[in-house]
Parts: sequence; C-alpha cells; structure tokens
Amino acid sequence: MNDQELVIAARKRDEHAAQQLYERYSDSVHAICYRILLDRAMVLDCMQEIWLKFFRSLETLEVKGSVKGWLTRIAVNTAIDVYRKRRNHGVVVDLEDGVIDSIQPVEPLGTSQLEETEWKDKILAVLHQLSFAQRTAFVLRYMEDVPNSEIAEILGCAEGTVRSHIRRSILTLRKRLANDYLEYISS
Amino acid sequence: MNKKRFTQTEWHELWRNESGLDGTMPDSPEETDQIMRMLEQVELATDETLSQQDKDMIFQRAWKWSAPQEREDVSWFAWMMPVKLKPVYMFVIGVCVGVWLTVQVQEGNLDIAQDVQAEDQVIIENSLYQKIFKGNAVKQEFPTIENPVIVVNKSQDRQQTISRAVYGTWDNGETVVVLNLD
Repeated sequence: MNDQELVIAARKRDEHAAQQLYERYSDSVHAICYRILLDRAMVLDCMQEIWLKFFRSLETLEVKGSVKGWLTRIAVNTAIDVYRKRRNHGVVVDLEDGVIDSIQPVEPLGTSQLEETEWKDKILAVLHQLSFAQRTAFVLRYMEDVPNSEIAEILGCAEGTVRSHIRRSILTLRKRLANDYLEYISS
Repeated sequence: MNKKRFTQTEWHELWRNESGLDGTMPDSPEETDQIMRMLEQVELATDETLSQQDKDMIFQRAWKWSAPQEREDVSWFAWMMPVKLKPVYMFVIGVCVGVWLTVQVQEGNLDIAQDVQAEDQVIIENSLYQKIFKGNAVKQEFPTIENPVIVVNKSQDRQQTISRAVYGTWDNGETVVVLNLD
C-alpha cells in the first residue's frame, strides 16, 4: 500500500495501516529530532508528541500531499517546542555566535589515529557548539533538503538569516573538524 | 539516511550569497569535495536509531492516545448539563422571547416612540396628545431646533408607525415637534 492508501485506512482507525506508516517514517523522524536536539531523553519525549500529533491530524491531512513533508514539519516544530520548554527550565544552554567563536577547538587526540567513536564524539561536541537555530537550519537544509524559504518559515526568520545560519554552521564544522577529518580518513 | 547532498553548484551558490567572507570559500573543487565528505561524516555520526522497544512503546501510546474519546453512556442528569444542552436552551429561550414580543406588540404595550426616550408626563389634556418626548431621534430630524418639546400624536388604534412629523410654536413660545403615529 502506498502512503495515501495507508492514510485513508488509518483514518478509519486501522492500526495495521498506522503501524506501517510509523515503521516507514519513524527512523527518519527520529533522525531529524536527534540531529536538532542532540539529547536522547528529549528526543524520546519529542517522538511521542510528534506521532500523537500526526495520528490526530490524519483527518485533516491532505491525502494527495506528502506524508514525509507533513511529518517533517510536525517533527521540527515539536522539536523546537521541546527545546524551548527545556531551555526555559534551565536544562539547555544555547551558545551565542560570539561565544562559539571564543571556544577553543577541541584539542587533537594524543593518539596518531582517530578511533571511530572518538571521531563521532568530536563531531557531536562541535554540533553542540552550534546555536539551536544554526543547527536546525543546517540539518533541515543539508540533511533533509528543506528549501530555505520553508526553514525561514519554521524558524520565524528571514531567508537571509537561514543562509547565514547554514554558512556559519558549515564554517564552524570546517574550522573545528577539518584537521581531525584528514586524520580520521587517513586512519 | 537522506541522500541529498549539495551539488558543487549549490555549494558555491551558498558561499556566493554570503559576501564579505573572504578566505572562507573553498579554494578548489577538491577542497569542496573534502568538506562535503566531512559533512557526510557529521550525518553519519548523528545517525542514531531508537531501540525496537522504544519504538513499539511510542507507537502504542501515540496510537492509543490519538483515539477519539468514546461516547459515554451518560445519565439523564448529565444530559441535562447546560453545556451539552446549550443549543437547545438557546432555541427555547429564543422562541419564548419571540412569542412574548409578538404578544406585547399586538396588545400595544410596546410603544415605538419610546425609542426617543419617553418622559411619561402628560401635559396636554387632549386625548390625542398623550406624552411628551425629548429624544435624540427627533433631534436628528430637526437639528436646527434647540431643546424641542416633542409631542406624540397617538391615534386610537395604537398603530406604531411614525407617518409624519411637523413642528411649530405654542402660544407660550415653546417649539413643538408633533409626531403622528398612524
């Protein structure tokens, strides 16, 4: 069954159809949330909320539209809500651009060869140094292929600001990771 | 994992759109390619997956909670609760008010002239001139007259339509507006 048929069936409370939709997209939805939030506990809350919203919205969902697009939008908006909620409770610290620049690059590891897990930790550390908006814009544009205009709408900013977020993200990643990457691929 | 990658053209477009970044643009296609591969590593590093147990739990909860609320078998008392009966109450109240208004109009208890703020004073012992009114509606009709005394000429059959309005002056000098109610 294609997405449209599954949506129609799930509207009639067909659990099997709903589960098929879930299986089809839960990994990609999870990936979006994780890349934006970088926190497993927050991602679990977020996933629960996203799928609840999605199932409740089946009645209003345009059958001819893209289920993935609809889910991506719900996912990003929910991730933003979860992030802001946690930030307001003092759990998440968002670094301003200036602060990022003042942070020293992660020191190269003592070993000559960068292990895979260490390389991954290093990447995550740098991603944490990006601001939430920068990371979200970068993930949506680079990994989810969402147009800048839609990202601007989701983040509530101008398209130029979105481009700036993406560019700064890539610059930061490049600045912090380029040398280690060369070391990693040579290992 | 999503397979979308920036093409060389998109990559350069991204950089070109951001002027004032001298030195940040990749120097060569090779360097661009290297950065793109590095970003692929970023994607790989964040390619986390949920455990099957968590996945199942999330689905079961979301599906269960998204079910519409079952209609409860409510008692007569619950059925009578105002919120549920709001449309019925509104309809019944509307009908009652409508009937009352119709009866009042037919019996002549509602005087349209009251719209011009009646002062229930009988000053002229004439069965035709029963009330004096001072009201904004008439002032609008006769804006040049200051503080007119308004006399409503009410016919016996108590019809309520204003058919004619004239004004003049009494012997004592008061300006008078006479409304004829047909």
